[in-house]
Amino acid sequence: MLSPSVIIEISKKKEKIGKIDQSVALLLSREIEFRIRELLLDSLSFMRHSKRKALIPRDICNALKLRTRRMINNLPQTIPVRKISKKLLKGIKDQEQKQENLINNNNNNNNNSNDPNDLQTTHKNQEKILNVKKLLRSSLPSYPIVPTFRSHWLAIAGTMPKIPENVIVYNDNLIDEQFYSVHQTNDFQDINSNNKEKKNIKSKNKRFRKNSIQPVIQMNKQGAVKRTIGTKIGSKGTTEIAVEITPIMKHNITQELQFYYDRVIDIIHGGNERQRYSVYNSLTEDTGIQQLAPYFIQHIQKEVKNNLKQLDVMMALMKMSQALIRNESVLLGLFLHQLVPSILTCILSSDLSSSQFDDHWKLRDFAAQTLSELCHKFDNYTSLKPRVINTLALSFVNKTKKLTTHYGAIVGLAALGLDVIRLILIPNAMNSLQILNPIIETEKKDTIKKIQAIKCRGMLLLAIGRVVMEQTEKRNSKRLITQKNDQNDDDDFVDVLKLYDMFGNALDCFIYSDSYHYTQVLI
Amino acid sequence: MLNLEKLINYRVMKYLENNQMYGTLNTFENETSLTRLTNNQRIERYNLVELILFDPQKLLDPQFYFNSYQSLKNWINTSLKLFQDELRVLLYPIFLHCYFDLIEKQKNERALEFFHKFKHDHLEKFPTELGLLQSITTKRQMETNNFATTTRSKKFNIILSSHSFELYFTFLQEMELDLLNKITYKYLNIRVISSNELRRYKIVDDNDETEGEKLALMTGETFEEIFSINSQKIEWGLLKNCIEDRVNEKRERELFEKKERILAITRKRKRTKAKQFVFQEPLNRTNSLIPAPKLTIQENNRRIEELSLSIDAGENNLPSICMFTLFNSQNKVNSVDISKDSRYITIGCSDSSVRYWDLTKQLEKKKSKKTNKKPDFSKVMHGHQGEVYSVKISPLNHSFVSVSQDGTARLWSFETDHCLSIYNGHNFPIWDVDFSPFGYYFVTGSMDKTAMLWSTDSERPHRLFVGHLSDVDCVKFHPNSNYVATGSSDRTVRLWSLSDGKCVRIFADMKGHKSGITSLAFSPDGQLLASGDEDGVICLWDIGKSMRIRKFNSHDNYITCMDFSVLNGNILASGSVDNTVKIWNVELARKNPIDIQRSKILKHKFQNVLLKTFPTKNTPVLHLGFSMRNILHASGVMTSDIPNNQEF
Repeated sequence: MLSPSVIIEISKKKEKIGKIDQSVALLLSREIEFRIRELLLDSLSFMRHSKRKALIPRDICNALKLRTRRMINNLPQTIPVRKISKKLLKGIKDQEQKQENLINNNNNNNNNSNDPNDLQTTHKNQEKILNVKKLLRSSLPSYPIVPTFRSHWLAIAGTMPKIPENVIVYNDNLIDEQFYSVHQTNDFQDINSNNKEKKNIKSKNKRFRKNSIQPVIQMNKQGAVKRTIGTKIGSKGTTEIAVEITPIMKHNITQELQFYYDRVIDIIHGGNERQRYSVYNSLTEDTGIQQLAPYFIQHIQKEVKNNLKQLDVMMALMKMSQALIRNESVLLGLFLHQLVPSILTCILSSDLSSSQFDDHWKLRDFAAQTLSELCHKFDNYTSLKPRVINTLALSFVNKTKKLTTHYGAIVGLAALGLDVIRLILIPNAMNSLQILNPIIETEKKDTIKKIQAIKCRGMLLLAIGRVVMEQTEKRNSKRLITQKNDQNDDDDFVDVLKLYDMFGNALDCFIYSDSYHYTQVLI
Repeated sequence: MLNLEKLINYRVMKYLENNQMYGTLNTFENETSLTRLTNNQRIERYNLVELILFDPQKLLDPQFYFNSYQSLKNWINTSLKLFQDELRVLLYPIFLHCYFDLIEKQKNERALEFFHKFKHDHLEKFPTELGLLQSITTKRQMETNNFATTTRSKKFNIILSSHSFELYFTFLQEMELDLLNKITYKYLNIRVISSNELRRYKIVDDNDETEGEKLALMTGETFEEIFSINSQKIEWGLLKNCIEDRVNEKRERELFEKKERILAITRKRKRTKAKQFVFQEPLNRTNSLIPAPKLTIQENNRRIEELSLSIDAGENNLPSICMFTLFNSQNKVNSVDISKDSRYITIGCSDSSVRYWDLTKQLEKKKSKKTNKKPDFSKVMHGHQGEVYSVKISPLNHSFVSVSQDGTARLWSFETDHCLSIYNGHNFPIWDVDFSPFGYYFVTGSMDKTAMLWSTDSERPHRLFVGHLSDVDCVKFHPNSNYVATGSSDRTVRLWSLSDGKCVRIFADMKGHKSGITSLAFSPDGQLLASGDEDGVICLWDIGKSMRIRKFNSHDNYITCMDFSVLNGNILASGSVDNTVKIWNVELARKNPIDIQRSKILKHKFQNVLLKTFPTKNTPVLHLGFSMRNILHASGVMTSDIPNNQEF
């Protein structure tokens, strides 16, 4: 802990003590270590009784007081000791640096400079000298903050209410059951054989559904509600609510939530990047914003329509919707019919920017990613994915659409998974290339169109390459196992030779999965 | 006592015997007129005094310590697996005393060498002790240090089965490790128990979710003393005519009357007489052993009314938890207490003030809807001269008591907002305080290793409970207020009788707590005692049988507070600095572990004693308490990593 050489150095500095022998220094250092350890143990017990996890200088002061030693007064009292020691170490290092610089400068002039280790080993907090007159004249420091308290329910009959004051609990059977009680009921029976509890939860579920339906009704008229309920309830097997539609009610949100909503919308439209980032974080993690979900979705829908050519606004809106999708405690199931079209617009729209040189590709990529996340999360809505694929595929096949839309369709389909690429992109790739290749080869005047075509082809190649790569890997592993070299043993595999006809040697990098080639193509 | 010459002769004889020089041995025997000793005789003769007389030079040689310890370690590691666990307990005390011996003999360098050579055997189990031990390097330091003096003056208690004990002793004899013999004789209390008894211990251990290693314990008493203390009879039942009984009676009477009303119609036809309702009081009810003012009739009725409104908490009926989060008080608030009727919240602050809120007044304010919205300031009261470590509201709800670093306890009134009296007695900081369930008496636990019993109307303590070897960290009154439990940093829990001030139970188990006790709780029927420690382990003890029945192990950090649910006590709530509140199923744990051992199905169910975990948002839980209506009050201090420099 403390080496005896330190003590010798201290004695060197303070001439009053005089020179100290090595053996005496050793004894002294051990004594000091013993005292410090004793002191630390005492201060740890003070910390424990103050019910804290971090040791603060006040604990050490208390331990010193207990042993009637002099207290250290000029340290901040409430900062954890570890942080202070870090600061001190940093200070020491700075001093060391200065010293070294000094020595380096001095070395040229004279060689009798001080030992550089001299300052490294000890550190003393400098005490400030205060002027009493100045102190008296200066204004009083601000009034200290008084401790206050707030109460909330941590649990009601054993279940945690989902309010902002409580922590989100993932992987909790009860909470999952409350919200996604679709096909987990069987598993749940095994885990929780308690019937009473189950009944409780069921009744809570009902209540919850009713509550969550209300805002939709208010904003959307009854027709839409009927439809969404019909599709959702069908899979659940309970028909009670499908028949019963709650009357139009006024949907009240609290003042705090209103304030939160206003602030989020302000920042999304006008805040800087950092503020927006914190908003996205809050939207992904906060538990208590379920009530605001319909308003957010409505806002996204409205703004996407109005700001079609403002890239940054659109990007912010997409990030916002991604954050909402990622939030475990916000249920978007009832608002998908509003959210999905907005996302599709961002992918497929022909003109997304005011100038054609803007990077609207990035927005399309991001929206496609969001869409795939959404499809993955709402896996249990069986009709969702086919409908989305249908929309994308139609615009991919349609030759009259603009190239930007064409690109969006490719990105969207590629993001939905390998199976989609295999089933839709590859069979129609030839048709697409028939349009793209002439443009790339012959077009000379319209460079923008040429760039768009190149982008499309690159994306198509990447998407198809992913399939090819997976396929070769599979085949390689199969070859390793069976020691056979059959090419056409599986119908599922795409005919690579045909693809070679289309893309030529560009496909090489996916087949020989060499990272070097792969990166080259991507660049 | 044998003289030195004789001893040397014995040694020579043994040498000859070992080398099988029987001819020489016979002549030697004839000449010295001594007879060979049998093995048993030899053990008897192995007295400490003889040993030192015999070979003082050998004991002075530090190398001897190294060899002895090393050979013991090797022997234990190569012995049968069955006995290894038992024998390994011996290593730590012997290691400690070897080190202290070396220091006492002024061989400081060798002592440090010894420490560093063998410290890895114990570093995992005793990190804090070894840290301190390492720094003790001179005899003078040893004399001033608390840890060193207690280990030198008190004895370690170790339980060994009769077989392993025999093994150990023959090993010592064969290897002629006089040194270990001396240490065993001087510093260890070895209790040899039969294999039957050992089996009983094992059954208890097997039910634990985690198999812990055994540790040597030190209590200051010998095994016989502990046994006689623990076998005393304790009247752990509640008082006669207690509130709980009245509530149960009320509930049963209502049920009975309901039945009667239904039966009355049929009875009219048959013309039989109606039965009279009789309430049977449980058998174990006791009388109060200490004089205390009785509760007023109003207070009694109020409590009965409140309690009869409570909902039974249990496995299928988890309680609701109301969380009071304190803001702007990181590093400022040390202790919180909420009154049982949830009217007052008191906090003890590190700036030596105590504060409280009256919740009913705040409710009134809200109802009247005044336009000028002022923040609800707490009432602040000053008086202490050091940090306040614990506050406790009197069950009679008109005052509260606080204890502080300055070694005093103070009684404060809610009605006048003033200090009513000061209790001087402890010389060191007081860590904890608890009120008797009927008010009037309170008990304090201090750093000076004692606990004291006070009454609110007397300046001097009535009882002084001495016996712990380290700080008394927590205190708790038994529900019938005849006993007090104290938990200490020496890893033991003790139960004291108030009538004579004597220790009536020592809860110390080789597999129990491995660090200091930080929190205690009694079940409402007075049968069980729960104790939580610095590692986050909770042990459940049966007071009547004085044995451990269960160990709960799930918290990550030390436990700050625990409480049983009212009336039936089926649920234990525990709070910790790891920002969680956990709910445990005591009903299951209470079942006799031996019965459960027999049926596997039950045992499977037995595993789920942890009913639920409630995490809080960065809020270490400081206080937990069930209200009269079985709602759990929790409170904690909101913390953040950003330091707050402003002192208040």
